[in-house]
Amino acid sequence: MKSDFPLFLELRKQISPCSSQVLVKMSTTIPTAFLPPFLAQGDKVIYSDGDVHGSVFWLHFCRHCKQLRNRNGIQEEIEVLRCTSCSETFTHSETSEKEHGCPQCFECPVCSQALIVRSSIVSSGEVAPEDLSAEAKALQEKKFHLVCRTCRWSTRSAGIPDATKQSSVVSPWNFKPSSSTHADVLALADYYRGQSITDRASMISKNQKPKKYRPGYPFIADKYKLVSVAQKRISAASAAPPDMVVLQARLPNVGYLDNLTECSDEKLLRSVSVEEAQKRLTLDKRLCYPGEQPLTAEKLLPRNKPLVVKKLSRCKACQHVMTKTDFAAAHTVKFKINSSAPLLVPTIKPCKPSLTVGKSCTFVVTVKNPFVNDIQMSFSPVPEAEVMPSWINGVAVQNVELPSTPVTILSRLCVADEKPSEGTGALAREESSFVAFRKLYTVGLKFTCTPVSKEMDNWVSFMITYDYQEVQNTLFTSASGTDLTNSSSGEPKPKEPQIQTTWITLRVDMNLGKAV
Amino acid sequence: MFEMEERFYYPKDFVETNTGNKVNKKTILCGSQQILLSGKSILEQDSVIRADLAAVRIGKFFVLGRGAVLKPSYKTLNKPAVNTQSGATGLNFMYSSMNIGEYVFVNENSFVQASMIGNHVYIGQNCVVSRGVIIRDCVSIADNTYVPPDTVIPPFAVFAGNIGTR
Repeated sequence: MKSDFPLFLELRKQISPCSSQVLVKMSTTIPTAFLPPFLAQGDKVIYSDGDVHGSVFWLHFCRHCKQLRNRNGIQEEIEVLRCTSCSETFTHSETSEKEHGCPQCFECPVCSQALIVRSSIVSSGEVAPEDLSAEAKALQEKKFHLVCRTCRWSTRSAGIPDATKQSSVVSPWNFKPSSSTHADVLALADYYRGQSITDRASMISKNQKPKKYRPGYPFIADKYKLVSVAQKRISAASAAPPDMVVLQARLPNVGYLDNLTECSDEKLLRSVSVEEAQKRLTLDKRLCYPGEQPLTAEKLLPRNKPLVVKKLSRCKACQHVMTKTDFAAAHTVKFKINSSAPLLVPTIKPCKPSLTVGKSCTFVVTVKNPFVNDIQMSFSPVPEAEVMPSWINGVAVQNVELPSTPVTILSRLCVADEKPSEGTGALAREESSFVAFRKLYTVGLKFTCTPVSKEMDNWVSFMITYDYQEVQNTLFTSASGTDLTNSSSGEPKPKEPQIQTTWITLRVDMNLGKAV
Repeated sequence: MFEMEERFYYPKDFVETNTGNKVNKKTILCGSQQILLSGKSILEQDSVIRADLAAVRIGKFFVLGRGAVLKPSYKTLNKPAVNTQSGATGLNFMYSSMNIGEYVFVNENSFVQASMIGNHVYIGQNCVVSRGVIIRDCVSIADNTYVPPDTVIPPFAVFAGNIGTR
């Protein structure tokens, strides 16, 4: 718990205040204490593609660039904000003033559940409930209050007056605590907004310089009376557009700034001990401290229902969308577009081998095919010119023997009960030397190596090459514009989808552990 | 600040569920259908959860010490309760559900009747947390503290004393 606050501050600093987009930049190295145990063990298999390296579960694969991307190569954006209570969607700019809360829905201050609106008819005079006359109805008034269904908290119990009007667009309640500086802050914000409009207007007027008329052929122009027409056009273009209004913003008079006294040099330049400096509040901590804090539950006010964020992540190089989430029920996350590496890169996992220093050992490596088509994967040793990467904390093994021929791995669509085709039988006989087993879309391959170290981890490095197939959808008409419809039947003939194959090469480093 | 020290236990004294909850066989669970344990929680010997009065929802990594009591908070209503048979009137009160966050540690012999407890909260030994108390995140309540009813304890606060103050 004690280390949560510094991490929170670190993440707050990295949120850049853009007006249209909020870029949330997560730190690349998350402290091990915050990771779940299966992630804190350390990466056993690291994929590398140029400068990008990491476990397959932490990487993305850009379908357009055909390269791996880590967190530095991705930018996250807020697409839309949604309220779980009323299912309304909002943009970032609409909710930035309301602290990213729904303007219509509120949360119970006791149990954080959504509050519901209840109405009651209150009569201002003495009216019998059975009296349905117009005079009686005129005295009755409909009033609205908020109630929590779980803990039965209501605005009436907290002493908040009922609202007389209820609108589906604007909520009649405003529970923000009033502060003396709120009006000053709003005035300053309006001033700077006006200042930005003035600056923008001056920039536009500077760019639209009046063009100098150079009479190249004055005798022709005079002959055809074009000089007066051209001069009229230039004079019209140099005028400001009718929609532009130049505002003269005024800095508001903020009273408490006038009473400031200058600090003497003795106070500003005195030396401060380390202990005293640690006791003082930093600016970040001071901003986090709330202005007002209620002591009892009766003074708690409902707050605007926090909005759920629908995020989008893009590849920084090609600006294509990598991940697009979708709102789903309960706590699941659905994706419209998902470019996570485990879905687009074959997953390699070594089985726990028994290693002895100096002795050749054989171990099984499982490879899973994530695609809906069969893939061909080949293994090759790392070029000798490549040095051991700096992120590997270990020693490279010797005498690595990899599968010599390309391996075919079946697609995810293959079913266990299906009889193997003739091709797969022949395939199995050819690969029997290095294929340990085949199970649906997983294949186990035999690797051989000689471990070197007892104290440090032994690493195996190799290159993998596999075919990445993309299906390109085609229209009914051809590129030349001729109609592909069958003239006799009158029905369109769809073209067969074209498959584009790209061979992708990645470097893989596997950690086998320490030898005995 | 507070971390449960490692200690050994006899597996035969505990019932371990699929979600990793370890419940001592001598724990008193009233209204077990209304108890929701999210996972990886420990309920020690002689601890009591009174979920027969209202639902108790507990987050992950919750530890309930020996002899501690969890009881939902109640609220008195304006309308008095009337016994239809005898016609006698009495106090009308209603129990509301109790929500507890993650990483909460309730130490031994404490009595907790708060309506809401946030995440990362430590409640010391022999504490009394009265009804209607709202404890926010990252709060520490020292040993032998009495928290008065309807108190709101803000985040990152340290509460101590009898009567408890920040």
